[in-house]
Amino acid sequence: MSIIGVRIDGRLIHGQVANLWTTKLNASRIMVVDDDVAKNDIEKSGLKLATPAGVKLSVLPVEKAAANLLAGKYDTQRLFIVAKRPQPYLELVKLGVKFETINVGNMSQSDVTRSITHSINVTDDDVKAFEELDAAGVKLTAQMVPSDTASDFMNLLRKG
Amino acid sequence: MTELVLISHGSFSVELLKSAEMIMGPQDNIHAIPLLPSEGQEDFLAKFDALVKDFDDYVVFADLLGGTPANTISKQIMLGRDIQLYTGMNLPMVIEFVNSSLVGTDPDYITAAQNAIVNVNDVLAADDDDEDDE
Repeated sequence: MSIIGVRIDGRLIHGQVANLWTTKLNASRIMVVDDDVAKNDIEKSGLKLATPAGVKLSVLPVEKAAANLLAGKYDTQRLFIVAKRPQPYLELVKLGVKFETINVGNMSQSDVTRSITHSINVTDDDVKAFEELDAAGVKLTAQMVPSDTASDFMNLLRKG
Repeated sequence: MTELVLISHGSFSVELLKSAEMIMGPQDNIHAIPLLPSEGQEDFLAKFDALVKDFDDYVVFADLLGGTPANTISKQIMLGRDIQLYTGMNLPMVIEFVNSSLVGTDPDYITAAQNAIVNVNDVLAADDDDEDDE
């Protein structure tokens, strides 16, 4: 597999992801993994519009993403994966996909979240998913933009 | 390290820098010089020179071709100073500056600016969505 970046970002493809990380990582394809977005044509058109010229886009539900990744469909590409929260990644791991590192970028606030950093807000369910990913050997980092130092996300989570 | 100097009528340059930092984090080598309503070319040039005097290498983006900020710097170029000046600045040009130094490529500010100016309706109408399920 040619996964060059894995990010959690509540805004999926936006300024930081499209302009900064995609350039930094030299990604040739962005994959958005989200069961709801994959069914929503408006959301998909919006994502396509935000994808930089020359970069391909896949918007897939978890199972299709796992099947494609495990079949080696992107082996010759430089794949940058984005999901809103940790749960899709946990499901992918359970289906046999291997991730070395997942970078936690933006997770937005709601009534049921608590704040880990000013840009990362988690629910109890998120915490459980992060703990399971950690237990599965996935390294979790927090790095908003490439010029920031990557912090150990599980440390931040335990302190938060 | 190349420095970027944004110059504008009023606070456009100051706020453009803030918008860029919202996306890309703090940018220590991007600077903004606003031309205030009370200032003339001489005041503006004095502010510009005070900023750039210690810079080895810098590029200037101005808001408007033919406006006072751009005209002030154009005159300096005509007087023989070695300054790279682009007009019609926008956020994609600032992002191109940050990204090119991040990845070590030569920046192409004009292409970056032009590629980002589209009619979204036309782009959506031309959209073939045959690849997004792959």
